[in-house]
Amino acid sequence: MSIIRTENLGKVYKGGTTALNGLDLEVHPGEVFGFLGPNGAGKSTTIQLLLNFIRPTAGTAFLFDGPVTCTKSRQRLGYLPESVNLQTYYTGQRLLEFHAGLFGIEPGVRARRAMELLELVGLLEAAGKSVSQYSKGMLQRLGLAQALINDPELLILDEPTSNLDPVGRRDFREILLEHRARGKTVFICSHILSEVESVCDRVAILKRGVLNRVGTMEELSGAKGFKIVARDLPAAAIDALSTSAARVTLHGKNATITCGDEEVRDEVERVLRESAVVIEHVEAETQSLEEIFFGAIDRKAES
Amino acid sequence: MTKLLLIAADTIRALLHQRLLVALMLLALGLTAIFSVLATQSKDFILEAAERAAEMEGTDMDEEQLEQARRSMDAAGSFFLAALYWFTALGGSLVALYICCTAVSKDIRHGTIPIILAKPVSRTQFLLGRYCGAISVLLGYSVLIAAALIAFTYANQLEMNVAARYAPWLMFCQSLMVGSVGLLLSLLMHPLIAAILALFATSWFFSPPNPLYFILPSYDRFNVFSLISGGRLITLEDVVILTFYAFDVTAIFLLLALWRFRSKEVL
Repeated sequence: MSIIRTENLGKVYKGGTTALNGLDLEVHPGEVFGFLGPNGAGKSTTIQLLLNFIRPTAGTAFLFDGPVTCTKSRQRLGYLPESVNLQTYYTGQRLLEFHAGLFGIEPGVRARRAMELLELVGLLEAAGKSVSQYSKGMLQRLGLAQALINDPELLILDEPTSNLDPVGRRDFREILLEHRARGKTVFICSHILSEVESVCDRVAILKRGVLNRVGTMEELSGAKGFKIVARDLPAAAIDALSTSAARVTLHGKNATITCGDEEVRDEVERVLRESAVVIEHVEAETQSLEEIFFGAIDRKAES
Repeated sequence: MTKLLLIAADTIRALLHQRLLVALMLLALGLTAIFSVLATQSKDFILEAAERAAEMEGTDMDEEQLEQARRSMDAAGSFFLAALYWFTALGGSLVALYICCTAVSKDIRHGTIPIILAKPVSRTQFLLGRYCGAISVLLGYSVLIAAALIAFTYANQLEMNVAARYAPWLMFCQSLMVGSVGLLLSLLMHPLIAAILALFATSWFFSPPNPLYFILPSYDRFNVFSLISGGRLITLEDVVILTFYAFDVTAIFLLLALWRFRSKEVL
């Protein structure tokens, strides 16, 4: 079973702008899926297609293995848009009760659920305040609360922390992690790469409407090199290493030897063994999400 | 059904928070009061003029003069009543257009629609909920207007003729039609243009064999002003037929609006 599945999904807007082209994607139950890409990459278009706000010009999209046009599938879904525009003529509590009603939650349960969520997002004190008086950060928190009102199996978040301060971002991350811990699925679009890196199980990178890379952080990062820390490196070993592809950095009697790949690492280790040098440790250097992201969009640009 | 009612209730709440709409409604009620005062003053003026004419002749008003003055007073009262109906009908249509043309387009413009449509709410439920909410406000407004008209009629001791009796209901029926046309057009174009077009989208401007005569709704049949000023009495049977006609037209335009909204891209 897949929570989200798209097959060759495409969208060309009137005027000929291609927003999305042949997107094949699958999001599995219980995973936090990061959807990345620069502005205009087609992230929001994908979400709008998934929520049936717009119609695809090619391919199909599925939610919970059913067509996205099926209203029932949205019973199990929570959505927080990039711009949180809520009805300003409600108080925070009444707004959540209204949205709870749309999920068919019993009137008696609505108020309790609303208060629980207001507490979760830190808006309990503003529960009786008109939404028109909420700040941007408060609206973002309230938006998250309405997205969680039905305890959704799938949470779709579009730039969820754009208006939050550092405390709000930390709170949001905790809520997300707690959601994941309960086996729920999260589909998150964000420009904040560190945030995605810290919470996502898998990541997809979109560039100009085309899926560029998809995989777990481990799969995407790969090993970009190795770092060997050695103690009491003799001059002979330094001379031997200087002729290899490794780069040696000395710190007193210690040295850090950077190797570009496994072949160089093996060569360095051989030299060090022959010189009877103690190897403190060897660590693989991996790419950060930021490096993967920029690498992906640069590589695409080159092609 | 619950979701539809929730959306309708949400619409009512949203509309009652709109200052422009409330101002428009108060203006219409204010016009009723103004007309009431004008009618009273015109009657006084007619009576005074008759008395002055008699004084100039150096005689008291005889029965014939009194009867003539009374007829003039009734005519003036009827004129003001008809004019009042015309204004309130126009006010009702404007309120209906304002409410219905913004019912969905405002959600799209303000960006509140995605959060609602991401819920298990079908587009049909959403649109009908918005329309029902709008019509509920319109019904409330019509009841207020009806109360004001009755008060005006009694305050000026006017005869409540048959046409006047059914006037508020006919105005409401007209608002239903105008509103549904406005709703459909607002899904196709800017709400302001939609409102203007909806107001003038009537078969009155066309005559057979122009196909628009048969397609567009006829509002003039609901024009209470022409019914009263033309002295035409209207029977209950006429009202029933007109009601069916209004509901029919409303249903057709609502179905067209639904068809359009179901395929509309909501960005």
